[in-house]
Amino acid sequence: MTTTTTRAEDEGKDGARDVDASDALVEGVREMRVRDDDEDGGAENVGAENVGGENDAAAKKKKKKKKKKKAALTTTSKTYPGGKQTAPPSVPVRELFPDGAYPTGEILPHHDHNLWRETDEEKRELERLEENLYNEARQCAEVHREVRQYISEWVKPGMKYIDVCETLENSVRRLIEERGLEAGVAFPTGCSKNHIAAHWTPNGGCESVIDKDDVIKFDFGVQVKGRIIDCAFTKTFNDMYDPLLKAVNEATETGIKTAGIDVRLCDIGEAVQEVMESHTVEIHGKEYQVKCCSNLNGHSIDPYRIHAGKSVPIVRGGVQTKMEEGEYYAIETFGSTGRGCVHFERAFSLVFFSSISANYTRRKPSLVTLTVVFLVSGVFPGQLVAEIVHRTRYHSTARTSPGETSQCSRSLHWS
Amino acid sequence: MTFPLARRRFDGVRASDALLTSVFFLLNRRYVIEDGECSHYMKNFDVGHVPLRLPSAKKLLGVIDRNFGTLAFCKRYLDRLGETRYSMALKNLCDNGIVQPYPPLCDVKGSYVAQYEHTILLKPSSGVEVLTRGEDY
Repeated sequence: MTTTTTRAEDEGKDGARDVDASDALVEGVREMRVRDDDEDGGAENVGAENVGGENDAAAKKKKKKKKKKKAALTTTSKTYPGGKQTAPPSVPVRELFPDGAYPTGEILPHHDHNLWRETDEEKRELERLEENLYNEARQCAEVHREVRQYISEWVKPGMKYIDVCETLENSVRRLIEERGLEAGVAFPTGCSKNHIAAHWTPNGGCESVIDKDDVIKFDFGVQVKGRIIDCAFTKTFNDMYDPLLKAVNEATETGIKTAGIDVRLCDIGEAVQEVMESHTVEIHGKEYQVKCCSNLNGHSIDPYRIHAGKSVPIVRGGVQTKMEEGEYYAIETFGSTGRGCVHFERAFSLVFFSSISANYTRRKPSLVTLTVVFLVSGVFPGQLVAEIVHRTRYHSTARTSPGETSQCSRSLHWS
Repeated sequence: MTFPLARRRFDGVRASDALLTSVFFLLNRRYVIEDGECSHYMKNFDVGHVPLRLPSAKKLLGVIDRNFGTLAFCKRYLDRLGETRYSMALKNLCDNGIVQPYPPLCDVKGSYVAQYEHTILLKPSSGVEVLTRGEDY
């Protein structure tokens, strides 16, 4: 797993943090789950033996191996205190955890300068008081884990984006038991592909189909009483992209490890960028250095407010604001093989035109502006053509009347 | 060259110009729009009462307030609630600064972008909790 390697590497680097304990904990949890799977596989195997009864030892061994692998793959094999989850997920997590206590996430210890917090009675009391709220967040996280596990195994090239999104959202709604504003989906399921970094989801009637070479970023959120959980992963169907995913995953892990109370946001950005840009990847036979998308950020989360004001940069040179206790953050990193800077898809010329048409409907962009737009964007604006044609034709005659001009620019509106 | 069908106007845009314009309009359109259609919207958190003239916009704002509040939503969620023909109203809400559109963000064409994200909680005493940590990542 990429997670562990990053930790091992970075531990040597900063040495500030003792992650061994949490590592051991995660390892322990993993071991437990594997053991669960084994038991299931074993039980099924015994049944098979009794029925058949003719298998020799070698065949048995083979069969057992096969079963084990299968058991590890199926979503349903995982057992929760209140039973098993189905595939596709449909059992509300409330029923899977009858005692109402949801599993705690991975706990990373404080940085050195904050170690006093662990024994401070006041801080401990503060945490005890908030435990109920934490539990709600953990419920959302559990829903996210179960849904994403199913989706990442189920999604295949050839499926429609819109179908995948609907399945995902419906699973979330069922698992969290959607009830209006109190619990449900926190934001639209992002499934931006390839060069689109974020904020893309199919609109109704969209016919796009998943291609086997697509890099899809599934970004979806769950909320209970406004407490939003925001978590995302990248799904690919081609090993060629693995180094890119590894780079981004390591960068995110670094961001998480750097984060802590009283840590400056700019320090996180710097650490993330260093890890991200140390990677090179080869895609379609061409080598790229992975770049951070410099204008995308992580963010703090407040109840019912996905972007609460503080941004966690993923490049150096950010603000020096500090993280504070009790805050929720979405730590996200984007690695790109392109320019490392995102823009709205309606590149220059169109953004330009739409802003013009929104604000000054009656004004026509000058020839100079249009030429600049053309040079910068490489798109030949229709209006430039019209303008050139117009100027050459009516060179000697009087300029067009204002009424005519507005007609011309109105035909170019981008609604 | 002139189009014989076009009425000749002295100082106006000619049919040929309009034709050229529309041809390039279409070319531009195909070049850029592709997936560029905006799908994400969110009501601004700090917005107070804004008087709206368009009745359909008022109605849509009611729907948004009841179902999403200040959470983000997309056009599909509106479809799901049975809303139809809301684009004009939605545009009006955006123009009035009540709802903010979040169009797709893209790097250059042909590039590949990957993302990983976790939600963390800075607890006062026991450390940083990575809430969304799972076996997968």
